[in-house]
Amino acid sequence: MRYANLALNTVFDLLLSPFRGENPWPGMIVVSFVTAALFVWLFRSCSDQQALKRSKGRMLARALELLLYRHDMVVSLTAFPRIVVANGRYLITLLRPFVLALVPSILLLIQLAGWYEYRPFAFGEPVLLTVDFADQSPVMSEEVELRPSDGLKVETESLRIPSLNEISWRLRAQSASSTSVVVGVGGLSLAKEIAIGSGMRRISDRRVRAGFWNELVHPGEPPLPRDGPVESIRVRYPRRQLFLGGTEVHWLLAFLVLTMLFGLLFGRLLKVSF
Amino acid sequence: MKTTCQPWKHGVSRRRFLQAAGTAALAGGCGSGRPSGRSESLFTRMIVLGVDGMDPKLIEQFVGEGRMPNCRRLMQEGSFQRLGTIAPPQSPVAWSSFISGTNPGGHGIFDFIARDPKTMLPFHSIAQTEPASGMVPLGRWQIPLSPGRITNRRRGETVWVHLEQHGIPCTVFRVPVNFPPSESEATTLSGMGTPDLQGGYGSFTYFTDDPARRSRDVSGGRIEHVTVNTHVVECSLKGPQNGFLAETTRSDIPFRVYLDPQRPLAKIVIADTELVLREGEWSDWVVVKFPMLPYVADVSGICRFFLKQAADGFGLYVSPVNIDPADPSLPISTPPDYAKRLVREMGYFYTQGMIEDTSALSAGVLSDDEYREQSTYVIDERMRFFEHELERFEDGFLFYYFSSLDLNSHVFWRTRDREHPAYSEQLAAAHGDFIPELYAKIDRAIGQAMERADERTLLLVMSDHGFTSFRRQFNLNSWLMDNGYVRSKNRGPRGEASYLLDVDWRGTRAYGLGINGLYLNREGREADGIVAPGRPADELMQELITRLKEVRDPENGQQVIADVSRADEIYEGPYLEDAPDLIVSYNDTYRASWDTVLGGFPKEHLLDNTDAWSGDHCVDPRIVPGVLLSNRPIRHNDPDLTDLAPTILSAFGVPVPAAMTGRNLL
Repeated sequence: MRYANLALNTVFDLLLSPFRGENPWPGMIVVSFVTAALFVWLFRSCSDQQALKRSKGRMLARALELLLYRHDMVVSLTAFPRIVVANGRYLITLLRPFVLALVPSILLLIQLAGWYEYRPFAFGEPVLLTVDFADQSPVMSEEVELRPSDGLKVETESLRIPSLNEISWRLRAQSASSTSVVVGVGGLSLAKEIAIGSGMRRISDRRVRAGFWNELVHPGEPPLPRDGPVESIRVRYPRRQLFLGGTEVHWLLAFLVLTMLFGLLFGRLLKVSF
Repeated sequence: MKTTCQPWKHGVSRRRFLQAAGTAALAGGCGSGRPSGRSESLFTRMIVLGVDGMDPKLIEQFVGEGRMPNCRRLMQEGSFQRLGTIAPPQSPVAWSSFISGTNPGGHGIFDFIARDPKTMLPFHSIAQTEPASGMVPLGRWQIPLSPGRITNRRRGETVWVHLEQHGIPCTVFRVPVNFPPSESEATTLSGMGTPDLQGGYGSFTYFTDDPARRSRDVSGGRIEHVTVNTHVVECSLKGPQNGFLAETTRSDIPFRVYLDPQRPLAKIVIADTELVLREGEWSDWVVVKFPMLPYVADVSGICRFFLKQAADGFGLYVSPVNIDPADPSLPISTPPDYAKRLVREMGYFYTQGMIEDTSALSAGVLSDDEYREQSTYVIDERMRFFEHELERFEDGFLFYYFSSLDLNSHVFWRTRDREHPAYSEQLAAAHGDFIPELYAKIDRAIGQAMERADERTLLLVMSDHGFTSFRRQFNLNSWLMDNGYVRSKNRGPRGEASYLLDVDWRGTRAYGLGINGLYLNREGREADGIVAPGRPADELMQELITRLKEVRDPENGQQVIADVSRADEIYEGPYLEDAPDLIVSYNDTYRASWDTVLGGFPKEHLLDNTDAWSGDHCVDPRIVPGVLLSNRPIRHNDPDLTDLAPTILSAFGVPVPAAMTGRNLL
């Protein structure tokens, strides 16, 4: 998983590197455009276009049957099951391309979340850093040291919460560029990057223990040792806000709508039947 | 009044349109909606700094001490005068007169508190709320067919509406008594009168495990007793009334506080926000969303936390939950997205009308140091926004309001008056520098405004009233009761709880409500009125005037009430009928007691004021004039508040409406 994450991170960093400005929309539009193009191509390649057209034709025929023979009770009543069957066949025809698209979709959304879910800290903003400990490592008995890099000021002592088995610190961003902290615990030095500045960039809100699912969902940084005392090191980043005409729009909604619009456009151009 | 032709709504900015089109084009194109008659203007730009409670005596002192160099320069280059204020010199009344250029009879605001003569229930005078109606019940929920409404009770037209009608772009920042903001083309943000999410002038919450403090409402807030259980505290923050529930209750947001077992630190987890605070620290703004109708409607607010105690006990202060300017549940600006734009450009900010939490100070929740820290945050926030507005100000009219001198003079006057019952040497040593420090900050703002003022810019710095000490409080209602003007239903011992609701109205001839208002119980007006109009009412008023002016303080023999005026003799205008019958003007260092303000009847007539609220201005207006500084000579030597609106209009060559009773001072 580690190498897959490395490869994906590199691909997306390259794809979005021209759009590191303040405005998130150009990158969003390009990603949606490319995604739509790739998925339409994938869909056309993986789907049985003839079977899809036939299924859609049958669905239309059943619907017309219902409309044209609405005065005939028997035809109308029996048309419903035929419509359901036609729909079922249509969905089965779609199943293969959808299954094939599922894995890249998940990876894509995880990567996009890294770019669009959060924004970097601005100069002077508070940074909440939390270290979650494993059950076998009670927080009150651990010796923990925080070593911030330049550009971060530690504002509070470590706050230990036994009921959550975690330690938190409040830091403050005091530089205009990204930096990191190192948490020293149990003889380990665990680094966590902290994004400061402006513009678009990939942000990792938590560094997690090694493990397939952990690494799948949090691909931004190398995993922590599987058997170490620390479950995760996390930073609460401010949410990135996308505005459309003064109204805030969630990035996922924006991405889905744009991808669908571009997908319909490509589908028409390439004469792909959905 | 609105124009019928608004080309700027179709892609051309209003300012550019006006510059390009010129008067002739306006007349030909859309002149029907825009009053004509604007003469040549003396100025193209005007900056008015409205500094609530800025006192001329203190200015003279601080200028003399060299603390206000910009003010000194403005006095030398322009003019400085005492500005006559309004009776009663209360901020809502005075600012309404500034806004409308009329006496209170022309705008209808006579006191902080007004009453419904049919129910005798008091209410805040600035805005009136009509609840939602036509409720359709759905189990424990109800859906309103008609939404609730909130209206500004100030009547009369504003000075900026007249300016906008003549093409002068206006920005009016937090002028008092403009909530909800009057409909206009101007850029405005509401100020004093803007409620918090609980609907009042601001209600803090203090969570504590102190066994000596039980859960209860206090003036301006609530104390919640909580239990610390294995270093975790479960709390709940109250929000607005949830009108969607059939049984109306306040919506709330539960939150949790985790305490470090060894250090004075806490982590607050509220909704999806987490913050870490040290003991004695304030948080930044936190956005809180109160659920009203699950998945359908919520109300967004912002608040700040202050961790007062985290070791050997727990104390967490939460500021009043302000209307979220990024997602306002009530109108606080015109155009509506102005507040949102400010958040985007400057970050979150206080939206409630009266920001400094003097209630928490008076309730002993915030210490003097802690209150001062909050107050300093407020003036610094206001200065940042002032610099922002000044930076983007190009032409037209800019009004900017500062509240800090007023509220801090109220609570820190005891550091200046050695004869005040709440004065102490220790307090004076610790905080005696705060009021001078605030005046110096205002002086910095004056300097910045002077830098932006060229020869075609008129700069005015004005205040609605000055200040004096509030040493002794007078229970007007108790005096009325003991002198036979009020009859109580309860013959038993009289206490502070016997509010107007316990009054036997069939035996009551006059009652006090608000800080300076005295009403007759008139036939045909009050529900159980007994004083007949005409001669009986006139004779009663004359008797009250004579007797009240004779009241002496047994402690020192001083006259307590300097003057009592008949409203129909000092006011004129269409809203005179809403006025109290008599306006009580207290003598220097005296004021109405807190109990009298809401119609209470304590035992004593006069008592020391030991509250932190130690300075005031609700006295005879001659004692507390405001100030008027200008970068141009002022022609009259007795200016008053109602003169400012006509002066502003005249400076731009805009005709002064007949309803405005003041003069042009330039």
